[in-house]
Amino acid sequence: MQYSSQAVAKPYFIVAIALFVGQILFGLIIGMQYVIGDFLFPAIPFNVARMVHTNLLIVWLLFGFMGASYYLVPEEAETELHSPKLAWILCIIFTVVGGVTILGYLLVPYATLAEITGNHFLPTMGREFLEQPTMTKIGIVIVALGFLYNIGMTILKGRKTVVNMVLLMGLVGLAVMFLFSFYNPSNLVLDKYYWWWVVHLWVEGVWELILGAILAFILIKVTGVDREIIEKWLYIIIAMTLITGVIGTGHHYYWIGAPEYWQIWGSVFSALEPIPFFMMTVYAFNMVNQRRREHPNKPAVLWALGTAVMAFLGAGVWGFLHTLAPVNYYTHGTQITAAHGHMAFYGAYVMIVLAIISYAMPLLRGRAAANSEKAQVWEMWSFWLMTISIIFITLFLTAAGILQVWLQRVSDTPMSFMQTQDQVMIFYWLRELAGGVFFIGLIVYLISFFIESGDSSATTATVDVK
Amino acid sequence: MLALEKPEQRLAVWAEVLYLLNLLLLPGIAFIILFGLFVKHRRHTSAFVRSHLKQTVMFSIWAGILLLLVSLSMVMLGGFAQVYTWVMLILYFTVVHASFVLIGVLGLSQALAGKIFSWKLSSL
Ligand code: HEM
Ligand code: HEM
Ligand SMILES: [Fe+2]
Repeated sequence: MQYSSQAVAKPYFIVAIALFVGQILFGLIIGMQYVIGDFLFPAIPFNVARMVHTNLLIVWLLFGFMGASYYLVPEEAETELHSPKLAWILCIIFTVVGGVTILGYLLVPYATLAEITGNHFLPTMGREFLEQPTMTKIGIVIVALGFLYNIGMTILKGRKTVVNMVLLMGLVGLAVMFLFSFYNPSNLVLDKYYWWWVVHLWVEGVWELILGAILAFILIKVTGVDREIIEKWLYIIIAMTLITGVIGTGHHYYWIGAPEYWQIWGSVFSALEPIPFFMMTVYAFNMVNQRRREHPNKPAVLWALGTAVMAFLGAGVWGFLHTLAPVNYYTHGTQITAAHGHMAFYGAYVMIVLAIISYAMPLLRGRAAANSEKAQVWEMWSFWLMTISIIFITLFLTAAGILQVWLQRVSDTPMSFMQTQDQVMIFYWLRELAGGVFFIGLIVYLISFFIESGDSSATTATVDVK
Repeated sequence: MLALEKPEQRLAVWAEVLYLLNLLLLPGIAFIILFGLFVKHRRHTSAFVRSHLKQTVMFSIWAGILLLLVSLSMVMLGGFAQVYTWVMLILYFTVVHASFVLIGVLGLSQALAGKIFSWKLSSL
């Protein structure tokens, strides 16, 4: 750690990991409710638990992005953070707002929550991923503005690197696109149309810039390759992201009542969306191949490479699988979508946050460059357990999805939705099993933080290879 | 990064690019060009070039067998109008195809770095 103000990243990372545990616990609950319908009935209904699962995911990733920014922006800008105090205050506010919101979901019926939080003044609730009470959304905007001010001022007064500028573009974009969550037209077509401006333009637009910037930072640090080379790749990757991803939004406009031409535009442009993810793998592998040093933090390298590969598989391959309009006509809103959602979110965003935590946390905890050998082994075990489990979750959901499409939509004698669910039950059991292994991986991950750093050899500075 | 001054490196990168094109965009056509390249340069003095030419041609042939022949026999044996044929086929094809693409990414990244093809990426 080169600047003492980078230390504020630590509480963000800790909260992120805690919420991650919550997310997975609720994932296991809804996974169980898929197979045992009245599991935890009536205490935790499926719709509530699902909301907790997905909202915790989004919120902990936001904590992760903020922690990553507080860590890497000062180092890139070569100056202290504008205001560490503001960062601390915002961390506490965000944690409290988030915690109270989750408690609200769990403790009162959703309709009551809407009522007591004054949803009727500015109705924004009730839409997937954007279920937060309007007051929470306003809280998120305040936190985001304070955060952007803090990061922006730091970048302004310091060195302006490509990594920082791309990151800042991504973060500003994240905040701006979120404003569309306040627009809630009563026309359902319009509602869906703009809802995707938050959801799609986040994960297939501005978040990809954040991903690219964090990945570039880690690669610069762990490979020692010249910044100029990595920056060139980053430019091309974000350009491809925006060229394909913005009009690619059309892959969500096929069947919502938007004009028909979106079937062409959406298919063509979103079919190109795998390109930036593909380039990310080539570039990450290439940089590791050309590395100038052997960084002692092996898990950080592993997470960085894993991000590139898994993002390509989850977003690129599993995205392409159902993105062409004639295919999506059959697969829309089935388990194929859920399969893709799981691998893409994990591969791109969960993994990049775990990568920066892996790189930064030993330094934040005052170790020279990395954790002890033993702690690293635990962390790498958690990498494989979680990553292989998510691959299996994806494969089982894909199998369920293909069956579902066939029985419910392709067949001459189509089954009803619920009849179909009975037919694919075995895959839901297998998914829950894989989810259990995922949870074990997560526990191993947590334990890795508490392994004593006994030997000092691994924790000393980097070794040059050539 | 993309300044491939040396002709050896250009050859190795082309082999990997053609291998990927064969999988992603121009199946068959890209392979024919790759195979031409292989026949012409298979006795190249540089071990680096030979390793990439050999790897790409070999894996293209394996990809052909595993993706076309095995898939086809799955349909023949399982039956075209059977739901489990399609469950298995789509899963199988997606996983195997993506794996071959990732091997190409590995190879391309090594060709770009001027390294002989190897399964080992780093000291992990
Ligand atoms: C990291 C990037 C990505 C993430 C995190 C992601 C995540 C998701 C999620 C969660 C959904 C479900 C949304 C819902 O609730 O309806 C979804 C839908 C979809 N995604 Fe992605 N995605 C990513 C990239 C891509 C890419 C690159 C493509 C295309 C090549 C793609 C194609 C699609 C399509 C076509 C749908 C709609 C599925 C349907 O009709 O039900 N995604 N994505
Ligand atoms: C890091 C790991 C995980 C991530 C990133 C993740 C992400 C998501 C996302 C984005 C959705 C919404 C999908 C959609 O609407 O298409 C979702 C839903 C769901 N997730 Fe997860 N999840 C993870 C782990 C788990 C685990 C371990 C389980 C359980 C074994 C699980 C079970 C579920 C279930 C049952 C749903 C509801 C699907 C539905 O409503 O049809 N998730 N998850
Ligand atoms: Fe999308």
